[in-house]
Amino acid sequence: MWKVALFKRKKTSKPFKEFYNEWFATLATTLLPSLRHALSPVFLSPVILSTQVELMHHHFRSYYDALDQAAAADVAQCLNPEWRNSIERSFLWLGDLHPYLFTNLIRSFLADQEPPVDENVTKFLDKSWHVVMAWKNPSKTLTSRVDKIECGLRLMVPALASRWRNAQSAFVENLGRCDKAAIGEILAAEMEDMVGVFVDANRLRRSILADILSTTDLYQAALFLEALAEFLVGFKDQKLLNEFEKCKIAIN
Amino acid sequence: MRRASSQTLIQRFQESDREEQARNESKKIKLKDERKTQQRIGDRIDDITQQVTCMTIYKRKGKRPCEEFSWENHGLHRQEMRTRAARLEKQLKARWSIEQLIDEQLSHFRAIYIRVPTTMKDVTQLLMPKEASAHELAATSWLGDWRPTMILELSRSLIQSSSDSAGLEQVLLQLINDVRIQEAVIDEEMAEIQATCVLHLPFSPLRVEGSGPPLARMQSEFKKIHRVVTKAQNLRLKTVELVVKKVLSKTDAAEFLVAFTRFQDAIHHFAIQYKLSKGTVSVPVKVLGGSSLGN
Repeated sequence: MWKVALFKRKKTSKPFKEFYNEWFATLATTLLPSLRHALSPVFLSPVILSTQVELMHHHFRSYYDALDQAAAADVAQCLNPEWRNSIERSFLWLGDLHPYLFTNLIRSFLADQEPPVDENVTKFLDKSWHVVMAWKNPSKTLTSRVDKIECGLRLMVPALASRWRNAQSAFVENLGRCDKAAIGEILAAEMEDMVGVFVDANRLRRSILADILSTTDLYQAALFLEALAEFLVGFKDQKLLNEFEKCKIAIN
Repeated sequence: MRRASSQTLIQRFQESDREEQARNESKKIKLKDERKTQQRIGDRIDDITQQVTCMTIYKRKGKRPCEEFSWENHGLHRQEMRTRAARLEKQLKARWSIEQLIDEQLSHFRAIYIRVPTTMKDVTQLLMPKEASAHELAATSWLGDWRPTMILELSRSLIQSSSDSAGLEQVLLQLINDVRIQEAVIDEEMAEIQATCVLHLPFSPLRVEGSGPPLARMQSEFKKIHRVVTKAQNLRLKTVELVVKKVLSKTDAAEFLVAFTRFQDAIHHFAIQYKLSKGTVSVPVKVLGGSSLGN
């Protein structure tokens, strides 16, 4: 064990796929269960819950930091990530979650004003009163803050999409004008532009996450992160993925 | 036996052709000797016929010189007219075959762009085709294949380098603008799926209306993706057809189709090499430790 650890320490880099798998395993097997545990009434301590929220937030930030590093090395592989499964790949925007997804998720909490229905009663029985009531009657400040975040997104997302399109257009324009032998240089220049777009998309995702967590209170933030993590874990459900891969039913 | 007889027929035609050619040659030499001015005219005609052969539909240069008619050079005129008619016929046939080849190429595009996915996995495959390398997709892809505005940009850059056609460029710029808007509309629809519909997947943390077996719920979301991808494919096809059939001349359309296919091939092959040289994407271990974290 010690030798393996020593060997690992000597490595200066590791394949992103390996990093991602470890990152995901930590999320699914350590951080999500710990957060759920911290939300349960038997264990509920604001200090511990706050630590768990911070750990989870830190975990997401570390993922986007690593993704930025990977993009600097080779953005094309990040835009078409082989470390994602077939279900995930169909829903990616610039290599990761669409930024609107974060605000849609928080909106779903804001809209969810009804008392828990039967199927969720057991889920809510596991939680303390603070947690159950966290999203009941959210403050006007919170609602208007989410409106503002969404407003910013509506400007940023199309701008990123058009930068992405411009990078591709410049590539083909240069290709048509220059000699075919220069394809390497032209492609490299395009990839450089794409790195800028990709890193900015990640910056946007990171900043929305930070905005949401700074706008919400501790219990709201914890429930939001729990939902986000559950959602990501759901994509990797092996049983569903097997059914998806084997499914021969025509969709149209 | 039939083949032998047909061969002799061909030989006979070839012989009679040769005889006629020889007669014409001797006639030409005779005439050349008699009138040296005719030689100059003949040279000019040769030049012109050369031009006709080289002429593209776009580049018409010069006018045919007016030749004086006289009974003395009637035979020569007849001969030249026959030669020219034959060349014109050849040119016409070439034009017809270009049209046919363009149509054939377009039908290939139709076959590629109107591939109907049958399963959910096919939809994923359409969005991120396995046969294309990551760099090829990053460089050119929009919802699984070439971005329509890129197809237009390519034709624009080819036009710029081949002819002085400011009007044509203006048409293409307008078209790029229109197609860009349509791309943005499709982008919006895809964003709706990626950010809203995705939360209706069976493992979603939300309480979503309507239930059913997980796979059926998944299928209903993939059906939406399929609809968007179909729109994107139709836009691609419509763009290629517009450029080839309505915007460019036959010659330019043919040149564009040749260039488009060559570029696709060149990018495909280069991207494979590029990926190999890049290797599997890695991250420095120190970034993973958390020291450089922060927003």
